[in-house]
Amino acid sequence: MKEPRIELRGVTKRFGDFTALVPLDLTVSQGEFVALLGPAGSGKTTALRLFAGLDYPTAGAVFIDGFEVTPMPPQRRDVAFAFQQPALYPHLRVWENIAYPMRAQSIPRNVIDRRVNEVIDRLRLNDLRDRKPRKLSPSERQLVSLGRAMVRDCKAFLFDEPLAAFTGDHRDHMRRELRAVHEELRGTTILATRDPLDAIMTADRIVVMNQGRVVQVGRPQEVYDRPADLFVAHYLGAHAMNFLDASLADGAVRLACCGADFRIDLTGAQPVDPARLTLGIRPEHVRIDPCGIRTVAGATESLGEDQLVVLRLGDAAIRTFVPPGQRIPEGESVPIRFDPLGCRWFDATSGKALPWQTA
Amino acid sequence: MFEVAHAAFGELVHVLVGFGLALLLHRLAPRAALWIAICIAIAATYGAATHLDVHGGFTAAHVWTGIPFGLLFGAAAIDAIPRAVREAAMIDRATRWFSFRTITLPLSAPLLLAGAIFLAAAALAPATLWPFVAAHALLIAAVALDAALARGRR
Repeated sequence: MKEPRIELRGVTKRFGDFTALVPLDLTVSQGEFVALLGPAGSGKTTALRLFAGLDYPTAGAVFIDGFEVTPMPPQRRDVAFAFQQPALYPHLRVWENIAYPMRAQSIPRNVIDRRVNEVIDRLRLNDLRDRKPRKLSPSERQLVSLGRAMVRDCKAFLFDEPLAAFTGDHRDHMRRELRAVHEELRGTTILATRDPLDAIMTADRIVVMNQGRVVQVGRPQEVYDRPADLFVAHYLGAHAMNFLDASLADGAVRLACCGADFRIDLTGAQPVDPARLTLGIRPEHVRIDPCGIRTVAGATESLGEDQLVVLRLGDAAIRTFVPPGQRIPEGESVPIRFDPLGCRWFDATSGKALPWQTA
Repeated sequence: MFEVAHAAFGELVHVLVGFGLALLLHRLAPRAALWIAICIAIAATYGAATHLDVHGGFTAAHVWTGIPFGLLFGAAAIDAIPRAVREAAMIDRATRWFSFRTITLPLSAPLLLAGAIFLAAAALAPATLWPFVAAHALLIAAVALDAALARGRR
């Protein structure tokens, strides 16, 4: 285990009546890349601002390298922060913006020039180096804002939605860049994002947040494969997980929509209400199989290469992938099978995942 | 010519003294600074209008309102710097002096200069009190309106 670099211990943040963070414990180790993932208002930005010292916690303590920094202003914490709305210095040119943190430390001019040129090359901002921020597009501003963080040699890099202005291919490229830069600088990085793919592609560890609470912490694949509750299951993944109502009776789980039984062992876990369970299964784990349960095909959504077809089973709708080129007309009968390895069981009352194994 | 230079220089001094006071005020009460400056400017203009005579009192009215107006312009200029830009400077570990030199001053300079020009023009205009007071009142109203609108933007 590497040394902890930056920590929140029992940190609470309230703004008037609104609780932005319930007591939160979070440790980020040296050299680690952690993504805070959650919808708007889940407390990601608040957590980052507490790390940086831009806000102070209502209760609890912040540690950097084992020292308490709770009352310290940002100047004394030595962390870089890229704001969601890139707060560039409006009167300074691109290269002056990027050089600013180094100039503030009275670093020799030639050292600054060399480092700033490296960063500008790296972010491909050469053509824009003499522009003022108001002449830049939103994504260019975010690049400059990233550059202003990268130019530093600091204890941690905090990025608040740095990729929000990027789309498609460019966003993919930037995700890889963030990861590459993290490895080159051997920094400690915390990224706040709403986009699950940002988190999965860049981070060593994902912290899923919702309503000021940490819902799950784990490696990206772990969080994707074993969501801790219905919220995480729903939030992660490019295509929504299918959710089906089920109930538990005599050790067998019965799906409400078709009456199919699953023999599973819940390894002693007790659902709050055995009559209310949920089966979560991702589209890729719903297989078309001649011996399977019969469903009726609905609309097909094209995703370019792949297609998603909606299958009706009783009153439930199940989405699954169809191989490219294959067409399933609406109304056709499609037999399906649920891949047992892809089945995730949840207690519908509490939303929590239920551990299980095949009986 | 000498008169113009004298008026411009005198007003620049007023504005700079006012700017210094505005910085102090902003340090003490960042949220209320602009409103306090507006109140002081109103009080000074009202004082000039009621207590100073039209003749002879005009020069006194000038000094009397000059510094509060410097304060008003200064507070408005500082208030116009976005909070995120200040925070970025804190993150970039700028010391107080460095961020004053590289951010606060260059970003407030245009408004301070405009203020000095306005006050100098008012000083050179025919020396009657009421147009002078009316112009000041109008300016206070403009700054107050802008401040009220800015609250919605931030």
